[in-house]
Amino acid sequence: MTTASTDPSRTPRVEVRNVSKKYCRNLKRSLRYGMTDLWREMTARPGAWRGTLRPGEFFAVNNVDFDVRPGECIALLGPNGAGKSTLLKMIAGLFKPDIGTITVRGRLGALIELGTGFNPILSGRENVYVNGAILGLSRRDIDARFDSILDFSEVGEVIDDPVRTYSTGMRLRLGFAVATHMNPRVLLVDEVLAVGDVGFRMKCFNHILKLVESGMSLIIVSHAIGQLNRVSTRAIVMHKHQMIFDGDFTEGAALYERIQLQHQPANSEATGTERCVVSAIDIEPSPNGNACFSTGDDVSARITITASQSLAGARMRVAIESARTGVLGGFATPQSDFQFDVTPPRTVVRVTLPRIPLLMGGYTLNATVFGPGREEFIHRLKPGATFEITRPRPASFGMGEDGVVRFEHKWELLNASPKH
Amino acid sequence: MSLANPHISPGAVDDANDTDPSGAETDAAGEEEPVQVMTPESGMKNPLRLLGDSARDLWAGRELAYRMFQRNIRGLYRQTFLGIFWAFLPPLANTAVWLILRRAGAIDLAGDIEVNYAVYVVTGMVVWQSFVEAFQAPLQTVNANRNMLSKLRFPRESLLLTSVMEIFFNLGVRLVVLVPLLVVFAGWTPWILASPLLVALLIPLGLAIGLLVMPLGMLYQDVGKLIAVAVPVWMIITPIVYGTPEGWNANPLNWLNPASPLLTLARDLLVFGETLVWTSAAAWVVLSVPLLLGGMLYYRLSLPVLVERISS
Repeated sequence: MTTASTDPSRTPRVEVRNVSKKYCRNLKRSLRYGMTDLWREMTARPGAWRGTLRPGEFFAVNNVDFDVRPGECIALLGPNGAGKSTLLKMIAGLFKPDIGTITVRGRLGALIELGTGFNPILSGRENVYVNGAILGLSRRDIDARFDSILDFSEVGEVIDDPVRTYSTGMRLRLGFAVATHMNPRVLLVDEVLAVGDVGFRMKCFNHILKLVESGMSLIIVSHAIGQLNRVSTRAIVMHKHQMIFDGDFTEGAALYERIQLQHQPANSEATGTERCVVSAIDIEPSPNGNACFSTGDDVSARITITASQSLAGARMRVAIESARTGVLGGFATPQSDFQFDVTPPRTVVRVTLPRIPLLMGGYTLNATVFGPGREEFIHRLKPGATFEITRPRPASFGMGEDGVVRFEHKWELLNASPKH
Repeated sequence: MSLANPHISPGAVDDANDTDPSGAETDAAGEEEPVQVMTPESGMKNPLRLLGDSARDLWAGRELAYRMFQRNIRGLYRQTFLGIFWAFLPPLANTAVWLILRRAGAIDLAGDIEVNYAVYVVTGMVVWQSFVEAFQAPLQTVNANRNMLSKLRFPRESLLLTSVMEIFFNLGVRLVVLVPLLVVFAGWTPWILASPLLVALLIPLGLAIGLLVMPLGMLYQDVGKLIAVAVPVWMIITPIVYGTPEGWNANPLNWLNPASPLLTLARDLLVFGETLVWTSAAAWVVLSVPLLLGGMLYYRLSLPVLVERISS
């Protein structure tokens, strides 16, 4: 460690070393295990008992290992129940790992739940002082920062009214303002920015960005990939309690979205007999040889229909879904006057989306086959095939394009200044 | 990622921990930075360091404790009509019960009490109330703050400090009423000047016992229910509403009941200016020191385990 400290900017602020944590879903058992753990803790029982699973236990966090350096902003991604919050709580020091070591250097701030410790009967001002003290600020510290906290929270003169009368948004803003004005070296943020109005969220991200630029390290858990993209450079993806990815944010985000899509319940629907089904959808590889594309690439998919008897005048509908926003749109063969018959055993149709207008993210393409009759639904394969758009990186703060869809657009200046 | 090896020995973790400069590190600005190392190891491997950490957090949490104390008191009285009167109501109500029982002739407990029975009982009740508050404080405060405990890191000991401040606050309010009563109805004794200290002797003891039952009480609600049932019984077996029995030292129930000797000491000195229980009271004062230290250790060790189990 002494060698590392010669270059403080490279010393990790957070070191997570082979960390695992056991968890038990059954409450009765969990309480009993709590008792034995208390006893073992008190008697300092040696041995490997901490790392051994008891009946009903599993590793909620399984062998996770990473570092966070000064000025780094890590997005911790993963489906619900992947172990993100447990990991965050261990880093926050709320409980100990069962295996491994976590080292945190510098003052740690955790936004795990905003406004914890707010008393509804007391005024906003009084609560700022209490909450500040909980987060480790002295009275003098808070005095010095009070005005900027008040300013940031946009609460205004109601600061002297009881917090009971505040809206959820106001409480949230006040909580965020206090927590981020304590100048932490390491900040943990768990989903708290999912709420609040867009304007304030933007302000929060801006503030966080400023803190990160000044050297703060940030670990942020959120499902809102589009927002994280503004601040994060690196992503850690957790899936089924393990860390499955640690690297570039864009890649991690796309991987996470693909996991989200795969987690959708499979509901391949069919009517009547299984004489005709959409059996496979294959995305044709991109120029890089995988299912990762850039905005504007041509994306093609081969859709295979397996049938035991022929079907004349079939129709097909393809829909594109985004992991973030749901179904983006669909189109069907009659639109392009494309006609085809299904012939046994297999019929393959190719669909191409030229110059795909989608921005960074994970998407699925699913397909439905219909008979010639208006209501003759035959089969839908869902989830279908997934593909990712990994480039370009969307711009933030109104500096370029962002969101899900690329819009064709043009600008004109209309109020041309009068000629002299 | 490979699967975790469940047999990684904690010894290896310990070694890694020992080589770590876990004291403090200096950053570029030359400012001391706290370094927090979390390992699976039990803190009991080094109980002295644990006590040191506990003391440090107690100090670090003093301002927070005071804030929370202020918050609780303000919050409490802002939503009550009678306000501070509530601090004095429990011992007063308890005393009233016994006065009524006595007047009705249901009991004859004051045969050998040579002062005003009401003052005798109310003094005992005030002392008892402080003891019971201290005893119940750890479980109550950890329960009341479980949400904060499972979401935020802050010096855990500050919760206890807040409780102690509240206990002393309530005691102060009660003494303001009690002291004039004592002077008027029981006569002046110099011990009245030491009344806060005399009552305070019971607080570390109550707190220590409360700390020892808190972890179990957080896991199983049975403990809290048992306490609710046991406290009135405990009050009866403590000489509050009746005089110090004959042959006090001969009856082990008197000096084995932790509340009894110290309560008798405080009450006797305040009411009569003298007491017969010096020895057993001194023994309990001495004993309460290691008990309290043990309770603090247990508190510090158990909270992470409890947070893990109680957090949603």
